[in-house]
Amino acid sequence: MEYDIEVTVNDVRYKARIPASFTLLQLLRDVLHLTGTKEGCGIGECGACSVVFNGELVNACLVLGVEANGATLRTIEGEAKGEQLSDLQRSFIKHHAAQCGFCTPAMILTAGDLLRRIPTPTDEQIIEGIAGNLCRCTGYEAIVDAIREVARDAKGGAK
Amino acid sequence: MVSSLARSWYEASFLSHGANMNFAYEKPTTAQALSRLLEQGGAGASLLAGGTDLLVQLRGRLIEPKLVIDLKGVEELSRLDHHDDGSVTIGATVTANRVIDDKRLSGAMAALPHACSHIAAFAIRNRATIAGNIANASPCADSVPPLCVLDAEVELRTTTATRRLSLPAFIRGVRATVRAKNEYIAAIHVPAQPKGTRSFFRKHQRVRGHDLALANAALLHDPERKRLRVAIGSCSPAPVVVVLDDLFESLDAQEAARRCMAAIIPISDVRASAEYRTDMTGVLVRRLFDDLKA
Ligand SMILES: Cc1cc2nc3c(=O)[nH]c(=O)nc-3n(C[C@@H](O)[C@@H](O)[C@H](O)COP(=O)(O)OP(=O)(O)OC[C@H]3O[C@@H](n4cnc5c(N)ncnc54)[C@H](O)[C@@H]3O)c2cc1C
Ligand code: FES
Ligand code: FES
Repeated sequence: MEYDIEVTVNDVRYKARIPASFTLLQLLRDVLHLTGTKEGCGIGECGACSVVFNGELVNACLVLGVEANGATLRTIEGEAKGEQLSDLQRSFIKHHAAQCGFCTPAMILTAGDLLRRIPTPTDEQIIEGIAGNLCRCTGYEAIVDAIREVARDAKGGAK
Repeated sequence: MVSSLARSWYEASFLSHGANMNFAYEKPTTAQALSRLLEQGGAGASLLAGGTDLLVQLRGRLIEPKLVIDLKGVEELSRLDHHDDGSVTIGATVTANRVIDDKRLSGAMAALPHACSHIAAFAIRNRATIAGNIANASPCADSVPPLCVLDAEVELRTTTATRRLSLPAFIRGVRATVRAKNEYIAAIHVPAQPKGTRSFFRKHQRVRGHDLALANAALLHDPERKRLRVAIGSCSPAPVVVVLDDLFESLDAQEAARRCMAAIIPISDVRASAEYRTDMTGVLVRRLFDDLKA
């Protein structure tokens, strides 16, 4: 069965008609062509599909597209403001926290969600916060460094 | 050549996505409408709470429902209530993160939020419900050992009837429960615990935030009624509850570990051998006693 749905992604309203069996990840990538959100495993293991769904971090591969009807979503495409990269994006670049980049969109959204919940996390909280996001390249150190610096700078006032 | 390869890969991935799977989706807003849909859907209906098990099963074609009924539209199922007598009701769509964030679930019931914090990683815990964790009846389910020692009951509903069962009575075995096709879990009821009661949880797993338990266990110590019990998961088809009231005074961890190791029926699988699970059960039980004495 197909359903008409409406979603707001990064402040843009979309209408689409999708089968009930489509995941939110398929809706984003294959229907709305927002391909910044990645599919690693499709079964909740890797975190590459993490997006912010009505203010909460979720794995888009574990949500049906129809469940998102009426929802507000944030994906990596909404991270930069025009040409202006976010603090996290700049910090990831500075610390070489992206290598192949496949985990990066979700890693940045996960880090953003963590810093909203815990503005000044300990290293342990950062590690726990990104525990659901696998990275095959960096060994995580650079990612933790990048997140820690954004938290520290925010604490020390705008920089 | 390349393009036809690419296309067949694309089609294969499409298939595994279940794109040609044809089910209807309903999101009722009242308990009555939910029961009616479940009654009509019969064996072809699947209930959807957080979807963290269901979507994996859909994708793997372990289930091919005709109808998926989303529970999240029914407001009353989302409640997490603390009653005046100290008992707690956890509605069917209450997530692991809501249980973790509920500061009142401490002391006697501390094992439950602690166990919930061991379920998967944060983003999954935003969706994963306690009711779904129980209904799915995986032997590894982390919420189950604490709910067993706390004497929690599962409330099952149909259009016309309600019944309550303890967890050991509800869970029959690996992915098997006594739930009838037209029943759904409306809530989990955790009875009030006597003053001074404490509970603890321990899980042995390879990588935190990723791996299911090789063994998980909860302990309850109730000084008023002199009750001492341990529930063990992941080491038998259904949870095992070991009553240790006779060790209440001695708190003999060694003896408790020995009895728990004898009570389980572990299997060997990809995660661990039966021998290892047995040894780890002993270790977990001794650590639970350390937690209690600390
Ligand atoms: C990567 C990953 C890691 C995980 N790690 C852990 C872990 O470490 N520990 C752990 O315990 N679990 C783990 N899980 C599983 C855990 O997320 C689920 O068991 C979850 O708690 C199920 O809840 P849900 O709301 O997502 O259920 P759903 O997926 O929506 O449903 C699960 C099953 O229960 C049925 N169901 C749901 N609600 C009801 C109801 N009210 N009445 C009757 N039937 C119902 C559904 O039809 C379905 O069969 C993991 C899952 C993933 C994907
Ligand atoms: S693609 Fe969703 S968690 Fe891996
Ligand atoms: S940068 Fe390659 S997976 Fe993380």
